[in-house]
Amino acid sequence: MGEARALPSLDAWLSEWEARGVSPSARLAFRWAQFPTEQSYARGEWNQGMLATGLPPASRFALIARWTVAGQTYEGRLADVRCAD
Amino acid sequence: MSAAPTDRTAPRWAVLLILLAIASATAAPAAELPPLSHRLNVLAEPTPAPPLRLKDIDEVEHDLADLRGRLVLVNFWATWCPPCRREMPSMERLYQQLRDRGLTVLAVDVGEDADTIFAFTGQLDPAPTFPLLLDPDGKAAADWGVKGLPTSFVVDPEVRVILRAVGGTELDDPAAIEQLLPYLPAP
Repeated sequence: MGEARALPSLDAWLSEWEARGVSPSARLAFRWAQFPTEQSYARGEWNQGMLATGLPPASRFALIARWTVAGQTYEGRLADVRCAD
Repeated sequence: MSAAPTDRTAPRWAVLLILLAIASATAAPAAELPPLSHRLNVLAEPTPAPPLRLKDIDEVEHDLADLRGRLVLVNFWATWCPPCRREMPSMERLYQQLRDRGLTVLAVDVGEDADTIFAFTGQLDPAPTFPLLLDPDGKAAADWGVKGLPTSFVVDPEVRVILRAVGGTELDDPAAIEQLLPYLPAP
């Protein structure tokens, strides 16, 4: 069991891309392609998107998501995700 | 499956595609596309629509304020967004069914240019005939509180947001059309 850590923030990614000279349009596409870190859903609503972990190639990790329905918090875990080499 | 900026100097970074479907009680196989929703959600209280004044891909300006008296579907999307691509034909079919009764559709592309949009819509059947607006810096999407694409809003004739759909939706589904008809004049 490794350490638990939050994903790098969207602002941190955008700052890094800007510092590396990534074009504004590419940064905007990155921003909107990310899965929202916080969202409120009504019945039937859903999102699809990317999460950027910042982990090095070949890393293994578990993704933990938490959500709340009617005041009750739930947790889901996607275990043993492996980054490409 | 990377949405990384097109920068060859960027480091390799890990991305993970995730899906969240609140309504789905059973997990779908990983390779299966998530189903499109079939209806919109009613807002607890109608809220004044944020301003929306943008040019379309033909450089014609559209102002939501000029559409008072009509029912308007405002859809935020992008060509690289899979559920946006999947729902787009249903939006055109909806428009064909209801435009003569007073429905306007404004599809707001977030962050792309006209050439990119045209290359995509040219492949669609039916191809969209409603205005495709450009939100080049994402400001309109932010003003409307959009957190993910696609997101659609229905604005009533008094320019109030009354319905919302987050995530891909079969917008011409009979259940969705049934939700719009009360706001349109009888044929």
